[in-house]
Amino acid sequence: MHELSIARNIVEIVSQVAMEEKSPRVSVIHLQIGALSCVVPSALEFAFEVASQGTPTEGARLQMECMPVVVHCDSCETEVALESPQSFRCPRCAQPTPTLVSGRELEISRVELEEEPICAHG
Amino acid sequence: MRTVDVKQGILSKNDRLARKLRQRFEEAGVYVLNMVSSPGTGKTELLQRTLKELSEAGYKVAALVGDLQTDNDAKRLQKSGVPVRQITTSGLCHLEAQMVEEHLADWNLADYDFLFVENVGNLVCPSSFDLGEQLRIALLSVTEGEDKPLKYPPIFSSAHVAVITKADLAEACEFQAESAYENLQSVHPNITVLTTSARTGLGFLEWLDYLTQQRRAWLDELKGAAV
Repeated sequence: MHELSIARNIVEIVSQVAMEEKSPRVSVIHLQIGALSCVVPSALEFAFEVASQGTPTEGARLQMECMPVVVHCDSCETEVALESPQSFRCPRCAQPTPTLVSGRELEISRVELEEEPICAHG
Repeated sequence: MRTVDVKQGILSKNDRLARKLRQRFEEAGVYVLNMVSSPGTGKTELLQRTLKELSEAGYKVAALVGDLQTDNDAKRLQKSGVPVRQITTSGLCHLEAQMVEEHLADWNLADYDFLFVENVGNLVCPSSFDLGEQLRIALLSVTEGEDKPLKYPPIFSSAHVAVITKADLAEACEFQAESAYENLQSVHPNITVLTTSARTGLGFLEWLDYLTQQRRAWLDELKGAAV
């Protein structure tokens, strides 16, 4: 259940962004989650619900984009996405492809913030 | 409503700290290894013999041991007569760089050649957390089944070396070494695979040789970078 650690980090980073941007509430958090990152989306959502309580991120929706494992195939001299992380072989030429390009992402790409309500003075 | 780009790693705080630790390890010249496996693979048993043999060969070694609740592993390892410190995570399923840093605070790292970090027994969670180590070792015991690498690709693909443990039980478990090797290669092409038994000492020459060679190559690289 390392999702709780991940959720706490998301809350910390995004709360800071909200504060800097003077936004009272975060509505959506866009994440990039690599296929090799070991994150279970439902577990992360659950952990986030707990970790976000009492912060500007409470109630925000996690929008997770799952990123494929991309390797460099030396034979085809190109980057290719793997069909499964169980087999590091080029789907085109079937050669073993040890050079990982991406797939471990755990990144906050952007957030959608609500604006401070405009108060009428006087 | 407005959108703000963040583009920040979720674990960037851990990654920053791990980089700082790595730099500290480099300055001290201590080679740090992060051992990961499922519970019961024999990390502590392998480590106990490794610490003893490296120490007898004249190397100065130390260990940090992660565990959810107990200090049983640290007590076992202290029998090898080298400095061992327990990190109790109180339920957390993996070690983080901050825990390593806290537990090393008063150690003079320059006194050591090798520092082993035994992670919490878990094949999933530790894979995302850099501890500043130079080498990540994934263990696989013959009692677990040959298909573990296929079930847990991230940990085996993030490791630099795979060590098969409890090889003395291979026959009794009908362990198919070739199939285990193929599965490891499938999730991590060209990964070094070593086979050991901490009970009988099988494969220990190669294992210790591998460790000392890796450390030497790392030291040479550091020297090269400093010139």
